[in-house]
Amino acid sequence: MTEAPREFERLFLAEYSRVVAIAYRILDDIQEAEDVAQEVFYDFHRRHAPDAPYAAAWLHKAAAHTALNAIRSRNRRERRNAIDLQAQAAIQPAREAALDPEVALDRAEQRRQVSTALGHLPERSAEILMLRYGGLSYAEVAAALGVGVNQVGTLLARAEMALRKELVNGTC
Amino acid sequence: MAHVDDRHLDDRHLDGRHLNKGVLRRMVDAPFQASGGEETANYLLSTADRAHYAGCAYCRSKYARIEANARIAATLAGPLPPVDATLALARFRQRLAAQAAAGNLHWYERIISNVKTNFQMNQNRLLKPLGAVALVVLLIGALAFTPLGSYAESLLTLFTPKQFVAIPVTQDQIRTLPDLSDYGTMSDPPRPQVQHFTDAGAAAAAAGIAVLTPATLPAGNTGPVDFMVQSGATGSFTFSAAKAAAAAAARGETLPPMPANIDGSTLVVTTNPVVVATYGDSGISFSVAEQMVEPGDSREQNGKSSTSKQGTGSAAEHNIPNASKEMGSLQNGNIPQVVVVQSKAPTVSSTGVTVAELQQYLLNQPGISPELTAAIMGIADPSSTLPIPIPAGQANSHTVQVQGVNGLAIGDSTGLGSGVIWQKNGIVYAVGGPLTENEVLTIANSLH
Repeated sequence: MTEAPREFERLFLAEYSRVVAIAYRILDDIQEAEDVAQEVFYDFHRRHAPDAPYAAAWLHKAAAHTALNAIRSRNRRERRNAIDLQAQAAIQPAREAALDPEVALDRAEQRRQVSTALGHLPERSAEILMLRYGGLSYAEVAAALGVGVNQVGTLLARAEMALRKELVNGTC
Repeated sequence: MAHVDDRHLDDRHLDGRHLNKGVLRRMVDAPFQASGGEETANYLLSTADRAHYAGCAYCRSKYARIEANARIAATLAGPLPPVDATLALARFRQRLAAQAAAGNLHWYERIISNVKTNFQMNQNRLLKPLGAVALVVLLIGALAFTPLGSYAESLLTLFTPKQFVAIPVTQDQIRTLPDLSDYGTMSDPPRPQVQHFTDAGAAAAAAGIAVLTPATLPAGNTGPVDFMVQSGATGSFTFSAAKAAAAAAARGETLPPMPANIDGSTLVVTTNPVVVATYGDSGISFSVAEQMVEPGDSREQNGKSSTSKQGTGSAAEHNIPNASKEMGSLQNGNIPQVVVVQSKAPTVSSTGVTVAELQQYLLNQPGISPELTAAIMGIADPSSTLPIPIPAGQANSHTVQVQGVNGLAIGDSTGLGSGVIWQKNGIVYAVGGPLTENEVLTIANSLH
């Protein structure tokens, strides 16, 4: 427990940026996404062998799950405190800050709405969206969710329908 | 957005010939043309399906809806800012090492350990969800955990503080500070003793200072109340020119020579008992950063169970009982609502070198960020001012009046938490929590 053996390090370096990407989809904040990634790898390290065949799939699923929990806590807090949107926009990535501020605000607002809506969806729907838009292939999404690859299209379509409904009718 | 009518996506209307939504959705990601590769090979439509689609308005309109939904979801996609996996691995390893060194941790030690790890390697993300509770606990660390701490902590508590100034720092700047152990030898002080009390009087007797308590607390704050008393400690550090030169040579560097009056001099830091009182449960958990409690930590088992890592192992797996409902326990990894810290200020003595000389020498070491150097050197009276590092851009600070003296109020930029620190009659006080500055000041001013 006090070392990171070679196998684990290999796994870490291979999967780290994808785990971050999945968490980043909903958290939209790279530092938080990296924090989630650290937690996910730590959790894996505690319980699983690094050469397990399910290792990558486990990490991807855990990334989505952990980030989702984080966004739900954040949503609860934001409902309790009115957060100034300007302040939110101010902590967007530098790339966006370089754009026209009004456009950046629009994009930031849009992404915030989608992220918030994602946090209101049933867990399965939110997870598949984070996995797919985090950059996983259909095969990898299937492995992470434990479904057949042929089911991914249907699940994805349903999740996107739910997301749209939430954005239109929802509580954000 | 227009009224959403997704009835078309309901496969129940299928008469067996139309394409189901799974197939249509896959088409969004891989259009008709085969572009090679394993991904698209799975999604080629059969000739029959392709022919059907070409002639079917129903399927095409269904496809349009599915495609529109996918486009909305795709606002989630986008390039990832660059991440450095090697650096992240180093951070991970550092956490494992810190865990091994720290053994069983109480909630505030866990926060400090996380804060130190995160603050050194990354911008401090904990400050966002935890607000100024983390800041207050960082202050506890500055007061109580030297000389156990890192170079940054050591340098920044080399005083008998009468006033405080906040210095915004970034993680890059912290990283430029050299490792103090390269410059000499630190004694290994014993691990501080910690006791818990439910009563201020008992805590005062243990700590040897009067323990003030707030007359007012936020509405709805009905406990639990806990007084933690941590014993003081004395540690020392002795400079060695030879050691510094050897460390530099090993890195292929040369350093400015260590002045003769510093070489061989010893700094002795004495910290006094610290009382940390916590009131109420904020309802906020730090689950993302929370580390699993190690099995066998019998103190923690009373108050906390495994944290919110659902689906990744049950409490039973770790021999930890479910969250206890007993009085006096914070629920399940939540942070307290109000934290009040009191301690007689730490003192530093040296065998001949002055604070100013030391500061000058250390800040002249190569590689230290010039902005950080300027900020530290800019302190008017370094022998009586405690600089408090706050992450640049994430926290702000200003002077306030509290208990009739000048104090320093610190808030995080999102307004989710505040803290205030002041010194009166030789005792340093800090109050903080996920509260507004006014709430924190009211509590602070009500201490008696």
